[in-house]
Amino acid sequence: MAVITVEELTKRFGDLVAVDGLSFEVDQGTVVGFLGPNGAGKTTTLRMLLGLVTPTAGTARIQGRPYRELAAPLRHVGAVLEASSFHPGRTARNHLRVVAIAAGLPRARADDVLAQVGLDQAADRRVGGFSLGMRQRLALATAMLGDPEVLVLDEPANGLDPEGIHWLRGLLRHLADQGRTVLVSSHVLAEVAQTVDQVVIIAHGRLVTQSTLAALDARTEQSVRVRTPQAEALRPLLTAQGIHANLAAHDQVVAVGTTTEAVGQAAAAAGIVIYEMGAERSNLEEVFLELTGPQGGTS
Amino acid sequence: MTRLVRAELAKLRTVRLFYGVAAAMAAFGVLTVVANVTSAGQQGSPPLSADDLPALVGAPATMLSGAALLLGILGIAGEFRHHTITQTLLATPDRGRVVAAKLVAYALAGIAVAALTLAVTTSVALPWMNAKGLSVSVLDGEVGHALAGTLLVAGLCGLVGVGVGALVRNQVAALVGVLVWVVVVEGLVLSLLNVPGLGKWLPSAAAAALTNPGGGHLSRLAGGLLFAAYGLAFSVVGTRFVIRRDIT
Repeated sequence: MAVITVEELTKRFGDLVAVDGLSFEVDQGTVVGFLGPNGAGKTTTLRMLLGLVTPTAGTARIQGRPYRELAAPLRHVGAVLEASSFHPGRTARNHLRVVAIAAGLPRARADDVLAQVGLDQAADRRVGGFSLGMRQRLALATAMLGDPEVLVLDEPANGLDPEGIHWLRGLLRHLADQGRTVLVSSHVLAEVAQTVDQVVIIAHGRLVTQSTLAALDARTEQSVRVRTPQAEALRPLLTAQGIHANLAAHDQVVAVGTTTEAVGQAAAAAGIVIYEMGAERSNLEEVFLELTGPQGGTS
Repeated sequence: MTRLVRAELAKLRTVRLFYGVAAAMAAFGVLTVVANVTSAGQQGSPPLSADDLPALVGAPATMLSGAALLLGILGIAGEFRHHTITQTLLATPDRGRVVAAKLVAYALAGIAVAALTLAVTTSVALPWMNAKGLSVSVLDGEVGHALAGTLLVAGLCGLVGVGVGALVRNQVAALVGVLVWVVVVEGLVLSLLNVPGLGKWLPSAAAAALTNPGGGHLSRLAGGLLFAAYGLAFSVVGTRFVIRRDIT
């Protein structure tokens, strides 16, 4: 069952089309990575989903309703948006208590979530003195205040050190194991690849692909890199045999989706000298870059 | 709605600004009493009489109005300044309800700061005057009017501050705007325009009617209602056209 439904969502800021007819769904109990390069429209999409930005066209619904129509939104949806949305003079505990009062949640929840994110020692310190990582933890604590079934996290790893990122992965996994639905955005696939079940990839405000991580993994391809003084001659030869090949440098050819044997045979038949040859496997990050790059957005 | 008002009051109570303003106002109130009492009868000024008590306890009214306006403006524009508006609207997506809760909360905040200041000025002025052999009492009708008028104007200034903040969500622009309006527009431009009868309908003159009726001002009731109407009108227009904008 879809918990988050985004349909034909569009946002224009003047001439700029930030989000362009975007549609995707997030099923209950899944952890979905919302990926795209900086400026792809991720934050605008999430802010429309949370009722902070009004869409130019289209709809974004959580549990079948626009966010603004949820009766007790924080009990259903927890969100992490920009890291600095705290009054610098307010303590961490008081920040959470203010939110708890507004949302009609018990006061004690503030201490519960502070312990959950490991900030209990800093509870009575003013947020102005917090590091970026501590603010990010406090933002996550705020998101969990209402014990929501759905979490919407915009770049939660920003500002976290490697240990913090490790902790975040554990937390996301823990939240998912409890059956919660998590939509987590990032501009770095590797940050979320270990945690997510599915990915929604966007570029230039449009959907590039929505797939499982496994399906994305299957798109990684083997390629063969060849160093030869006759690179200019080798490339058309491979192309003629139906092998996709590019000139990587004046003396290098990269042939995609083939084997060293095939390239070696072809070169030998044409009497092309090879200095060096090796098989490479593209990784997920390269697939991501290829999908979201200037020529991406076609699949 | 009570919940939202409580949340707004909790926001106010959990930062130092509110306590700083309250302490500054109480200190200022004591200073005005001391200055007025000690200078009375000196260098040709009339000696202190029992009739001076209302003016004495009500002296900080203008400063209190300014303080309440400041709290109201920062109460809403400060949320944009610190981006806390995002969290506020995540908890309460209905922006009209957020502004309404702030109107109530900052009216209460203005009254609270005024009540504290008046309690301090009265408890300094009253025994002092009694010690000087002047028989005065807070039960005197005019003292009651001065106290009630000051509480009311401070409360309404809190409310109007929220309206101004909703209209101009940048806190510096809002504060400068209010100063320019009061000093330049209502002060200077009005006297240059020379349209008798217009001035009393403008916001700060309407507010002044609460503490200083007569002198060309409206009656207390009319001034108070008009000033409150300004605050509500700013809030409605601000909510409709400014607060409703995208929070990016």
